Amino acid sequence: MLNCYHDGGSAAFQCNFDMYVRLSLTDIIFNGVFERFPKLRIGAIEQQLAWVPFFLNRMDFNYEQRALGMTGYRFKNDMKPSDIFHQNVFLSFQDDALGIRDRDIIGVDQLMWGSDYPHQESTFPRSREVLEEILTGCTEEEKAKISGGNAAKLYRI
Amino acid sequence: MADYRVISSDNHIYEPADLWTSRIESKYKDRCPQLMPFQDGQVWVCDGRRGQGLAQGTNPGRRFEDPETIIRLDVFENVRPGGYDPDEHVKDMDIDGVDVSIIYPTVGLLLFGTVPDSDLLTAIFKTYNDFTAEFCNAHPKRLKGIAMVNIDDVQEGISELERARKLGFVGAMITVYPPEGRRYNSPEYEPLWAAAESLEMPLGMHAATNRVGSGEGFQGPETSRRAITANMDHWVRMSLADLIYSGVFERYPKLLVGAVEHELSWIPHFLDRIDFNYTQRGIGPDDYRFKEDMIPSDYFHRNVFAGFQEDALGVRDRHIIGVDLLQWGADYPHVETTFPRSREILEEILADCTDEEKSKIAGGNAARVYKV
Repeated sequence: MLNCYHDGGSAAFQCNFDMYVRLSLTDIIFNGVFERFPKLRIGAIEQQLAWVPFFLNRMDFNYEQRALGMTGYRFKNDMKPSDIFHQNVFLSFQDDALGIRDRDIIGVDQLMWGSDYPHQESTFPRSREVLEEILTGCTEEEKAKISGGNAAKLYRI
Repeated sequence: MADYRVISSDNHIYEPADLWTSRIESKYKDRCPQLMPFQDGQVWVCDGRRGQGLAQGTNPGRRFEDPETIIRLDVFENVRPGGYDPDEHVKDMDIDGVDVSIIYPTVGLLLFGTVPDSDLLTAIFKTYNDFTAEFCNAHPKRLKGIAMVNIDDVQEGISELERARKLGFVGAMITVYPPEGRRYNSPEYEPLWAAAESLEMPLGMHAATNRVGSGEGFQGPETSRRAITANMDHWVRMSLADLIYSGVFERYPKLLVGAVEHELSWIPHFLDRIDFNYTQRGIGPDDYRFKEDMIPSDYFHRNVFAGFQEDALGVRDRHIIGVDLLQWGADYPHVETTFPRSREILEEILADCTDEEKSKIAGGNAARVYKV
């Protein structure tokens, strides 16, 4: 259904890639996978961040306020889809000012910076400089988490 | 309460039970949309395929009272009369504090994705347009219609667009995403963009109007439907990116295209991505380059408008999105409608805006686009 590369127009796909990870995450969340496997971690890698606030809003709205949402799978303990997202999903990014601005909505503990070395979009060789710049508005604790602490915890390194 | 004109950029007709059976050309009588009994209620059936129930007409206001009472299966006699009776529609607008309604369909919406037979779809849409023109003409200053246009055959679509203009429609809706194998970056649609521009008919791309093929999955099994519904903005983003990247808005600078009922807060990320892909990624030999140093987001700000109901993050980001693009809508009489609390909700969601911004978002922008 979603494999539409055959007729060209790849630019439109490139700027709308987040659809695929969003569809997969909603399929997993709405069907209760993370409730059954609460320690499972799944990451959206190199998808940037700024799509997340809208995505959380849409998941919760569809779960809570639409007629069709009322009859599907219901979570235990009054959990909402966004609660489950915050618990089980992590996100990698390179350079996304809007996403950093919205870090409290997305979840500071979920953000993992990456340099994308050696790809053309890589922040190499200016990663330290770019990091300082994009995390300017963050507290020291947030900086430590986003630039390494969150990844260290997730991968136990 | 601030003194500004309120235009709902997205109200809906709820089509009368006999709209199609009583009016459509006789050869389509058996195949056109009609109500059939189903369990304890009724559903719309078209061309042998079961479609939506009555929930989008029978539940306005329940989300405020008690969402648990939202009824999925219902019968036509419980549809709010304002859905099909123009006098009642206007009475509800008065209750809700809405001055003008831009009118979209309800049953018609999902037919884009469920009626593969293009001739049948065209006949269904023409019949809808005949009815809706009469509906709006009962209160021509308050009710402004959006015509349904099938563009599977582009020339035929243009003829209906011209007819709709003469019938008094202020705009038209086309599928948010073309059928399998076709995209809006294709030259086959060029005459349509030209016609819409010269007729001054804004084209709305409403949520849930994917043509048969890609993206119709939101009507699929319940386990996957919610996932699709929560990600519906994808299709309008694809179509807008195709229009922008293929230079349509450069060739038709006055063409206006709307993302209707897709909310707003996907837009900042979308603008970031369309510009990033244009300015910072490798350029292919077939990639279109704009004149005069324009970048993709410039065309979005000039040629696109965006309808929403209540999206706090989107309103917060109005300066990134563009204050002149935003059009509030009540979505009456659907399950999600802000009726009967539209004024209260408007004041709440626009609390941080200046008076000028409020009057634009609540009505001024729609007035400019639809010339009402």
